[in-house]
Formats: sequence, structure tokens, C-alpha cells
Amino acid sequence: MTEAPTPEAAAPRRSTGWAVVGVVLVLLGPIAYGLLLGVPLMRATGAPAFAFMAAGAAAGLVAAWRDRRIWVRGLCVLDVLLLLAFVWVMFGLFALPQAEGVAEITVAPDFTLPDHTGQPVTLSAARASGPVLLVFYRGHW
Amino acid sequence: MAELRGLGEVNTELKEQGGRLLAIAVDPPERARQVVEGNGLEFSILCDTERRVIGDYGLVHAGGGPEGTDIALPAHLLVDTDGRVVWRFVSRRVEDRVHPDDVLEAVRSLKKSATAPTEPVDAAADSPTADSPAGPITQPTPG
Repeated sequence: MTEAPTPEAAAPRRSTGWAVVGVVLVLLGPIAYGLLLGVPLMRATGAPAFAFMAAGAAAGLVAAWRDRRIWVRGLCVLDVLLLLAFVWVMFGLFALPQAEGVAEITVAPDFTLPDHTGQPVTLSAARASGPVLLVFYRGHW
Repeated sequence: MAELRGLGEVNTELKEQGGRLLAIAVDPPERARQVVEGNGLEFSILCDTERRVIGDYGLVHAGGGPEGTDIALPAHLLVDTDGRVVWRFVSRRVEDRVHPDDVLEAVRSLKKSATAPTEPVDAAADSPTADSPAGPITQPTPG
């Protein structure tokens, strides 16, 4: 029954599914990164996001290899470009310069700074009664 | 900035030990007040607008802020009652942050080591580093 002659064999191969899966996976990478920033592995390395995007680009390449239609190959190029853009953002744009001096600090230099209400706060006074956690952050703008 | 929201429990633990959490950025007080009020923070934000403290701590990201201004490199430093830095975390990328649970663990371990010296005999034998109080305090060479 299934031995019917296959006219499709002569027709160009279609790989729409792979192409779509590829784009979805590539887009899922950055979305997952944004949503899962609370997960230490994601935040520190972004590894799961890279895995999604690499799988997506691979799917796109498979689709483009099997299916010669222009939009399938265009999507493949898009997949690869998005992956490269994400790599650039993570390792170029978001990279911070190496903090040089902080590693040598064994004793916290004392300081007095105004707090958000304008009240001066002195480290040596603050730590006299208990431990102090200093959290340096980039600020808000 | 978002990292400040996750530090409520750490702040509570520090307070229980008589200490406190101090966030530091180069923002002016008005901006810092917006952050405290907007996020319901229960700790202070200090305003290093002159970039002196981030300079002293080696945490200047030159040109990292808006319009090429200098801002702080993200970092956590835990300071004990003697002023020693007993634990630190320095970010390597913008979104690279220590997990609040790790900070909490560091603060709690401080409580344990603070009670240790009151137990007379074992502490010195177990930890040779614990009984060198004044040793490393001399600064390397300040320029």
C-alpha cells in the first residue's frame, strides 16, 4: 500500500519545521536569560541561553542545507547573526574591566559619606557594633 | 541596581549581629532616595559623588557610566568589627552577581567564627591563621 510512486522525490525538499524551530530556539535564548537571571548558573555564565541559541542556529543550518528556498536560508542567516550578537553583548558590551586594587585590600579603608537622606555615615563607626556588608553597585540612571 | 532588592534577608542577618548593610554608588542623594523608596529598601545607600571611596577600594569603572562618567564596579565586601575584609565578590560582567544565599552564608559564618575564640582551648590548635591578630594589617606600600 505504501509503495505508491513518490512524485515528491523529484520535488525540492522542504524543511519548514526545522527553520521555524531554529528561530524559536534562537529567540528563546535571550528571553530565557532575561527571565532566569535569578538562577546562579544563568546569571554567572549565560550558559543555558547559549545552549538554546546554538541549538537554534544548528537547526537553522540543517533547514537551510535541506531546503533551498530563500526565506529558509534567510532565517538561517538571522539565527547565526542573533547568536553572534548575543555573544558580543555578553562578552563585549557587558564585560567589566578587571578590578585591580580591590584584591589587595585586606583592611577596609575608612570613609565618611552622606547617605540618601544626607546623613553622614562613617564605616569605622558602623562596624564598631557588628559586621558591615559594603555593596558597590553601578548606580541608577 | 536590581541586586539591592534581593538583600533583605542579608540585611536582617547583619542587623541581628549588630551590623548593617551599606550600598554605595556614585549617584547623588536624590537619586539614591528614589532607589530606596522605589524598592522599599531597609538599608542606606551612600553617595560617593566625588568617586573618592570607589577609588580607595580600587573599584572605579572609568568611563563606564552615562556620558563617559566614572562609576563603581559591582562588588560585595564583608567587613568585620576589626575592619578586616573577610569575604568579597567582584563581578566580571554587568549581570554577574553573587547569589544572596552565598552572601547570607558568608555573614552567618562570621557569627560562628566570632563565637569561636570564646571557647578557650581548641580554636588556636585548629586554625593557625586565627591567632595572628595584627599581622596582615600593615598595608603593602601606599605609593
